Amino acid sequence: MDTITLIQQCQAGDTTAIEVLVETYQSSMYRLAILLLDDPAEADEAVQNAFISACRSIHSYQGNASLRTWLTSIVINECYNILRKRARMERLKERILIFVRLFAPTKHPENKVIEREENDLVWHTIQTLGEKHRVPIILRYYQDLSVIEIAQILNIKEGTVHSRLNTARERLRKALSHLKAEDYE
Amino acid sequence: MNEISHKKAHRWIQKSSDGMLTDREEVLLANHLSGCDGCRSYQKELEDLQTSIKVSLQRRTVMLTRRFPQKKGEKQPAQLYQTLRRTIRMKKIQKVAYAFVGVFLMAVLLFVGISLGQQIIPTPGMSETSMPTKNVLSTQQPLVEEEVTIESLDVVLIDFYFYSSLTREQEAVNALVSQFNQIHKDEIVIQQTKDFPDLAGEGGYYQGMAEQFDCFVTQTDPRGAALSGAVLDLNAWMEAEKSAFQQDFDQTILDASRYEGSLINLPLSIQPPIMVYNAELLARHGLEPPSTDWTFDEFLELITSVTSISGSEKSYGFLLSSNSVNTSELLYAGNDLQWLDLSGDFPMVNLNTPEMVNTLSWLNDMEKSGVLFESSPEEDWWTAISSAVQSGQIGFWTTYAGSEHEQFFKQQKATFEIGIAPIPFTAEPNGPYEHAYQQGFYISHLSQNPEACWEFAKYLSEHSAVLNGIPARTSVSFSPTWESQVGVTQTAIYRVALANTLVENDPHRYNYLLIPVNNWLWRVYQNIKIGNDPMQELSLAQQKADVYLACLTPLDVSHLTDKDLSAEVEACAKQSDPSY
Repeated sequence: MDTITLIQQCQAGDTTAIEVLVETYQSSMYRLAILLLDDPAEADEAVQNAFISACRSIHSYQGNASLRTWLTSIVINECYNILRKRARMERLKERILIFVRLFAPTKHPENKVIEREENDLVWHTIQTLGEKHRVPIILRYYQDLSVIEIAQILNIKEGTVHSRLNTARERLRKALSHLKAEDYE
Repeated sequence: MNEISHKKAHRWIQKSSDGMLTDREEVLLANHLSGCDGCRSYQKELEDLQTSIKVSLQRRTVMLTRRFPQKKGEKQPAQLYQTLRRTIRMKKIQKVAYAFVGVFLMAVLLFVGISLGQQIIPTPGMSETSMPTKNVLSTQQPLVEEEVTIESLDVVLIDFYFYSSLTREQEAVNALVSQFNQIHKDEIVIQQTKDFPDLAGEGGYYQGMAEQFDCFVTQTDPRGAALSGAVLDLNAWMEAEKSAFQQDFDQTILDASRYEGSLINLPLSIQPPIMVYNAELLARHGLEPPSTDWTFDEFLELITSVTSISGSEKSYGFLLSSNSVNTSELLYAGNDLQWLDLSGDFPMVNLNTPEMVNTLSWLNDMEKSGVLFESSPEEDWWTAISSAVQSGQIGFWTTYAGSEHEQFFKQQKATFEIGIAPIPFTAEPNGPYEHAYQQGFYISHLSQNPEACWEFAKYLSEHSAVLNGIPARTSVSFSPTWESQVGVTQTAIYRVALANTLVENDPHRYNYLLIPVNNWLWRVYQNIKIGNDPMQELSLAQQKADVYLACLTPLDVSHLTDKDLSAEVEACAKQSDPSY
C-alpha cells in the first residue's frame, strides 16, 4: 500500500489501514521516544498516545510534510508532555527533599541498573544537554533527518536548528575531550 | 576573494555536516582544508564525534529494548489497535452527533431569523471562526517556547538568563534584550529563558548556569565563580576595548569583579546597604531625620527616642532582622566590642570576655525595652516583622540601596513617608557587618559565541540605569537621566553609602567560616534572655569555636569552592559540637 492510499484510507476510518500505519511506524517512533525519555515504560505511553492523537487528527493531514515527519512531530509532543510532567514531579520532590534536608537519588530505578552496567560516556554527555539541544541531536543522528525536516518537526527556522546542533556538538566535543583527558590523567 | 579565514572554516565545517553549504562554499572549504592542518584536524574531530553519537544512540536503543522486552514497543500492538478502533468509532459517532446538532442549530437560527424578519448573512469573522484552517503540523500544541525568528544562518544565537523578583527590573531588561536584537538583527539574537534554571547537578551553581546559558547576570562572587572554572576570564576583552570604556567603570566596583587578576564578570550595578526610616514616626516624636554623616551615637539616640511601648500606639526603634546588614555586628561595632580579628587568613574570636558579657546584656535590655525589635519565637517571623514595618511601628530598618520600597511594601510605595540614610559611622568604619550586593555579567566557558555575549554585556552596562542600585559605569551613574530617575537626594545618599561600604571580591568567605560561631553566639544570647549565666555560656561557646577553628586551620580554605568550603565548615562544626 503506498503512502497516499494509506493516508486516504486512514482518513476514511479504515481500521486495516490504521493497523498498517501503526505497524510501519511504531518501531521507529518507539525507538525515538526511548531516546528522548530514556525510559521504556514512558516511551510506550508516549507512542500509544501519539498514535491515538494521530488518528484523531489525520483528517487534517494535508501532505505538506512527509507522513514520517508528521508522526515524528506528534511523538515529540507526547514526549515533551511526559518530560514536563516528570520535571514537575522532580521539582516537587526537590522541594520536599530540601524541606526535610535529605538528599536521595531521584532517577528511575531501572536506569540506575543500566548506569551501573553501561559506561557510555557519549550517551551520558548527551543526557546532560538540555531538551532544546538534545532533541535535534537525536533527530539528526538517530532518525537521520535533515535540518529542513527537523525544522518542520520542531516548528522552528532551519538556522535555529543548525545553531542548536552546532551548540550541542561543541558542548559534546568539549565535554568529551575534557572527560577523556581526565581518564588519561 | 576565494580565501576563507580559519574561523569561517570552522563555521563552515559545522554547516557542511548539516548539509547547509552551497556547492561554491564546499569548494572554498575544501581548498582551505587542503592547506590547513588545524582545520582538517577539527573536521576529523567533528566527524569522529558524529560517528560516536550515532553509535551511542543505536547502542542505547538496542540495550533498552533488549533489557525490557516485556515493555518494548515492538510487541504485537493488539491493545493499541483496540484503542485506535475505539477512537475511530468515537470519531464517527461524534461526526454524526455534530452533524445532527449542526442541522438542529441551523434550523433554530433560520426560525429565529425568519421570526425577526432579518436576513442572516455570515460575516467574514464568523466564517473564519467556524471553519478553522490548520497547517499540517498545527494540530498539536506548540513544540517549543516562543522564540526569536532567525532569518539568516550566520546569525549567532545566545542563550541568556536574567531573573529579578522586581517586575519593573525584569521588564526593563526584557525590553533591552528586544532592543539589542533589533539593533543586531542580522548578526546576534539574544534568547532569554523564562524558566528557572536547573541547578540540581553536581557541579554547583556556576557550573549549572554555564551549562545552560551562554551568558547570565547574577550576584558577583568572583572567587566562587573563578574556582568553579565555569566562566571565562574577561580581561582580554576588556583590554581590547578603548581606554574610555575601561576608565568608565568605577574602579572599586571593577576590582570587586576580579579574582587573582582575572576579570570574572563585567559589573553592571551595585547596591550598598542603607538605613531606611519612618519619617512620619520621627516627625511625630519631634525628631530630625538623620544626616548623611550621622554617627552611631546619634543612631542610638534616635532609635531610643522613637521607641514607645507603654501607650496604645506602640513604636519600636530598630528592626534587628536584615537582608543586608549583620545588625548584631553593627551593634557590637557601635559598642566598641572587638571580638573578631579578621586580619589573618582565619578569623580569630574572643567570646568569653567581660566586654562581650556587657554587650549581650545591653542588647537584652534594649530588646526588652522595645528599642530593638525582633519577632517572638511563637510568631511567624516574616509575618511579624513585615506587619510591624508596614503598620508604621518600626522607626529604622536596613535594606539595599534601591530596594527601600520593595522589601516590605511589595514593590508599592509605603503608606507613610519613608526616608533613607547611609549606615551610621561606627568606630570601625567599613566593618564586616555590611557588604554591597553587586550584579555582574558572566560568560560561560562553554559558550561558542563569547564575542556576541561580550557585545551584549557592553550594551547592558551602557543601560544599567534600569537595574536596582548604582550603575557600575560612571557615565551612567553620574548622568542626569539616572539622577532624575532615582532622585537627586537619593543618589547622593546612595553614593555616601557606597563609599562607606566594604566592596570586595570575596564577600562570602568569612560569612561561611563564621556561620557556626554566629550560631553558637546566638544560642548564648537566647540563653542569657532566659536567665542563664552569661560568662558560663560564653566560655562554652569559646571552647566550641576553638575546636572548630583548629579543625579548619590545616585547610587551604581560600582555594576551596563554595560547595567544598560549606562541607568542610559543617564537618568541623559537627566535630566541635555534635548537636550542630
